[in-house]
Amino acid sequence: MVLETTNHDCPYVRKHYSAKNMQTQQREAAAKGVVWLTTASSATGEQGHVTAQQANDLTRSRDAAPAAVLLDPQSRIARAYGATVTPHMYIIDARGVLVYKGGIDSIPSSSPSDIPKAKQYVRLALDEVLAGKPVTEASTRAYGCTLKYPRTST
Amino acid sequence: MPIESPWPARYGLSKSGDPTLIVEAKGLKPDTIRDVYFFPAEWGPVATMAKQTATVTAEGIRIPLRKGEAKTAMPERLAGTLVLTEKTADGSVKQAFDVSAKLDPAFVPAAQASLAGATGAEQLSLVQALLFALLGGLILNLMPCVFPVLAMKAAAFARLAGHAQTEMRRDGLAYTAGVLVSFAAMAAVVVAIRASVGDVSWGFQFQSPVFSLLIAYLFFTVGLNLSGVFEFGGRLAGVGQGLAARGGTTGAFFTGVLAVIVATPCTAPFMAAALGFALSQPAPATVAVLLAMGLGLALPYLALTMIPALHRRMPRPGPWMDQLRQFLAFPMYASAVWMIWVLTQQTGSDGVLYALGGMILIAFAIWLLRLGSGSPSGNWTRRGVAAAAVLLAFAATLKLEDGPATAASASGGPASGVSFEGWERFSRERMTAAHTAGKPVFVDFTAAWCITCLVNERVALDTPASRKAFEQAGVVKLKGDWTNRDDEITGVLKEFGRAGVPLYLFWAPGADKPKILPQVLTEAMILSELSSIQQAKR
Repeated sequence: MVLETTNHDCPYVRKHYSAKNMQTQQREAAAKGVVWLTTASSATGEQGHVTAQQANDLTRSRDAAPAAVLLDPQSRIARAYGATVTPHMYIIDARGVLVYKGGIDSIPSSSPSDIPKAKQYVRLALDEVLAGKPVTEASTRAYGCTLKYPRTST
Repeated sequence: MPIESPWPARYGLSKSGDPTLIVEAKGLKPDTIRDVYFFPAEWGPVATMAKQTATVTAEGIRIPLRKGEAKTAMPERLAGTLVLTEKTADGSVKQAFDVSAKLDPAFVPAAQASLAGATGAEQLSLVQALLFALLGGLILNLMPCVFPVLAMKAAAFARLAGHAQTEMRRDGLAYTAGVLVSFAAMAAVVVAIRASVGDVSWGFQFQSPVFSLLIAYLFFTVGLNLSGVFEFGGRLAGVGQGLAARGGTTGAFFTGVLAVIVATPCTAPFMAAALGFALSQPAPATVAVLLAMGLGLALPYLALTMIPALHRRMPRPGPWMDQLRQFLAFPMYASAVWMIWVLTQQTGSDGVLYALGGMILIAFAIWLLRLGSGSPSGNWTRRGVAAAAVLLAFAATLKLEDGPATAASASGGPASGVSFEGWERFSRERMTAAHTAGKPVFVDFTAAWCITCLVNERVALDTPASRKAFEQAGVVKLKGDWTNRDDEITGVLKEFGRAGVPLYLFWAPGADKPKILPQVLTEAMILSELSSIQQAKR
C-alpha cells in the first residue's frame, strides 16, 4: 500500500501532478496490485481542506488514479504517520510493516523540469518491496509544503 | 531572528552513533533556562522530531540527540539553530542562536542509558523522576558529605545494638521522619522562594559563608563529643548538635535533620537533572520528588532497624564501641576542615582566622562547662564566660557578612565573564557626577550568567554602529557587573523595581529621571535614543 499526503494548492504537489508524475505512478502501482491512498489531511478551516465533492472533482480534473482519496479533516492519519509535508510518501508492505517513508523523489524543488533528473524513491522502493527485497533507501528527506494541522491553541 | 552563537560548540558521537551537542556557554544559571531545543539545519544526520532532553549546567548546555535516518557519514560540522527560553527579572525571553558544532573525535558521550543522560530534564515523567530521586537518595549515603553523619549514626547504632527490637524500630522511624521532615521543609522553602523571587538554585544555603561557618562549628563540636571530650547533658540541649547526639527518639530525629542539611551540597552535582525537574515542576511534584529523595537517603538505616534478620547480625556491644566512636570523630574533623575550605572559597583567607578562632572559643567554653559540672561554686561565672566565648564565636558570622562573599566563587565558577571594553565600571557616584555635569549617561546592568544581557550587548550595545553613535553623542557608558553579589547594584535595581538583570538606564542630558529601556534591545532602538538627544542639542 502507498500513502500520499496531499494539498492540491501546494506548489510541490502541483509539480508532480502537472507533470503527470504522480498519476503515472498511481497507475503503475494499481497495475501491480498495490493500493494507493491519497489523504487530504489539511484540517477543517485550514488551507487545502477539501469536501468530498471537491476531492472527487480534483481527482477527475487532474486525471488522478488513487484507489481512494481519504478525507482527514482532523489530520488524524497524518499525525499517526508523523507526516510533516505534502506530499509525504509512505509504503506499507503486505504484512502491514512500514517499509518506506520520505519524499517522492530526490530533488527538493517545485520545478517539474527536475523530475526526470531525480531519483524516484517511491517507485524504486515499491519495486524492491514487490520483489521481496529489503528497501535500500527506506527513509529519505520529505520535501514540500508544511502539512496544515489543526491549530491547537489560539 | 537567530544571532550567531557567542559560544564555541562541538559534538561527539556515542558508540551507537547518536550525536551529543555541547555548547560551551560557561557561567549560565541552570535554573533560569528552559525549553532548550536544537533544530538541525540539514535533514539527515540528526532525527529532527525526536525529543531532546538538554541539561544546562554552569559549564554549558549539553543536548543528547538521536541520529537521523540518512545513510551518510556525520558531517564535519553540525549546523542548526539553538532555541532557549531564559527567565529574567521581568519575564521570559526566547533567544535563538546559530550554532555550528565541530565534530570532536575525542568526545565519545556515554550511552543514553547512563544515569546522567537518562535523568535528562523536564521531559522526565513524574514516575521516572520519583524513581531516580529515590535512587539518588540511596547514592547520597555514599557521598563524602553525608559520611560523617552516617558515622554518627553508626556510633549511635552500635550503642543501640542488643537493645529491644521495638526500640530499634522506633529509632529507625524517628531518623526517617527527621530526614523526611527536613526535606519537606526544604521543599517548602524552595517553593516559597520560587513563588516570590521566581528563581532558586539548589544548595543555595551553601552560598552563604555564615552557613558554612556554622556547619564547620557543628562538625567540630560533634567531633569533640565523639572523641569523648565531653558528654551532652541536658544543659546544652536545644542546640542542634545536642539534640542530634542525644539518645532516643529525639536524637534519631535530629540526626536525620542533620544528615539532610549536610547532604544538600552533594545533591547539587549528582542529582542536577532530577532536581532540575523538581524545581521546574508545580509545587506538589517538587515536594514529591524531594520526599522520594529523602526516603532514599533514610532507606538503608530504616532497613537495618526494621529487619530483625539484619540486626541479629550486628556485633555484640563491648569496649570496641567506645573505640569505634572515638575513631569516628576523625571523619567529623575532616568534614570541619572541608567546610573551612569552602568558607575560604567564599570569603578569602580571613575566613580561616574567624573559623579557627571560633573553634578555639567553642572548645574553651566546653572546657569551662565541664570544669563546672563537679562543684556548684562559681558556676554562674563560668557559665557566663562560656556563654560569652560561644557568643564571640558566633559573632564571627557578622564579620563574614561584610566580606566579599559571592555566589559565583562558592560554586567555583570563573570570577567574571563580563567584558568592560569601551565601558566604565559602574558606581553610583560616577553616574550622578556624569549626569549632573550635563552629560548623557547609559547604564548597562549585566551578569556573566545572563544570556539576554549577552545577546543585547552583541546585537545592540556593542555593534560598530552603536559604538560610533555613543561616541558621537558623548555618552558616558557605565557597566554594572552583577555576576557576583554586589549590594550597590542590588540597591539600584531595587530602586527601579527590579530583582535582577538586565536593566538598562538612559539619562538624557538634563533629564531628572532616567529612561528605562526594554530588556530586549535592538540596535535601531539605541540609535533612535541617541539621535533624539542629538536633535535636542541642535
